[in-house]
Amino acid sequence: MRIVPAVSAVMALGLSLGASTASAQTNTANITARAVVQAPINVTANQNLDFGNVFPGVNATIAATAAAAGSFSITGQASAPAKMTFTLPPTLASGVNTLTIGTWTGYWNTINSQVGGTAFIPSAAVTPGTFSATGNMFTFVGATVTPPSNQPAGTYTGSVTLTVTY
Amino acid sequence: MPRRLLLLTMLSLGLAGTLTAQVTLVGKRDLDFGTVMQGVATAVAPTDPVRSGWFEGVGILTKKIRLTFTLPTRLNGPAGATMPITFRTTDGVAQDGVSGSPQLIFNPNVTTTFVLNTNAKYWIFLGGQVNPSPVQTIGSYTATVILTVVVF
Repeated sequence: MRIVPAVSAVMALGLSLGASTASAQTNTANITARAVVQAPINVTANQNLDFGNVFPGVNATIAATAAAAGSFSITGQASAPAKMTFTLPPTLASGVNTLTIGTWTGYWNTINSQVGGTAFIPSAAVTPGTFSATGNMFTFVGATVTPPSNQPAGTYTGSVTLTVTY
Repeated sequence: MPRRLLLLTMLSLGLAGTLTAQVTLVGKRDLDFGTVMQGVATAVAPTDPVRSGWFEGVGILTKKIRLTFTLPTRLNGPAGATMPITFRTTDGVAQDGVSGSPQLIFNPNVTTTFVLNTNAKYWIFLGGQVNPSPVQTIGSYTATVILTVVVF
């Protein structure tokens, strides 16, 4: 079942079949080409999620609504829905040593405030959000670190990545 | 005599029928670029199973079909805004109207002829590219793509 191109034969065949043009049939059909233009999304890391000093054997939690929460500001299409996904580290690292981090919490708002917004659980799954009428959105993240009693001293870090799409 | 007249009438109708084989062409799917960003060119491949434009036609087995697209150069948006759209030389794909059959790439910017040598039904797919400027007006843009097919 094949369609065979016959581009080079177009003119010659068309002329030779001129006597039978009454059998040629023409059809026309339309489709629409469409696109929706939106403003690009920009995500900016505003503040690191900072646990400060933690102690071996003592869990430490920073709530998403706390002053020490990590925060991102996002700009995009005014009033448009957005999809947030997070890449979250299971541990923080200090050289070869690691510190477990988890129990992530999130909070998003259309203004730069941790009041009056929406709480959520950050994850690789999509969290829906909405840009404000001026095209702004703010996201805050918190978590818990659980250092065991033999946790080596050091400065532990990890990266939290927020991806936002329409 | 009446019987002979009836026979002639039937014969006449039969001959008329063989001269009026119908060909059809319908637009099955719009060419949909979806959401595009200001300043970011966005292309849809003709093989895209969701976003490519799609026409379905029925011709006549062993006959030729001559395809001519009337392609827009701009999409029309809000308040008179326009956005450039282009069609590359590989943005046309022709295929028998059977899933999985071989696909032939062609240039939709020029008239192209194919022979329907194995199947009267055929599919034509169309890709393209939109080129929004960095300050492209936000909103929905559309234009009409016309495909004219001559079966001969």
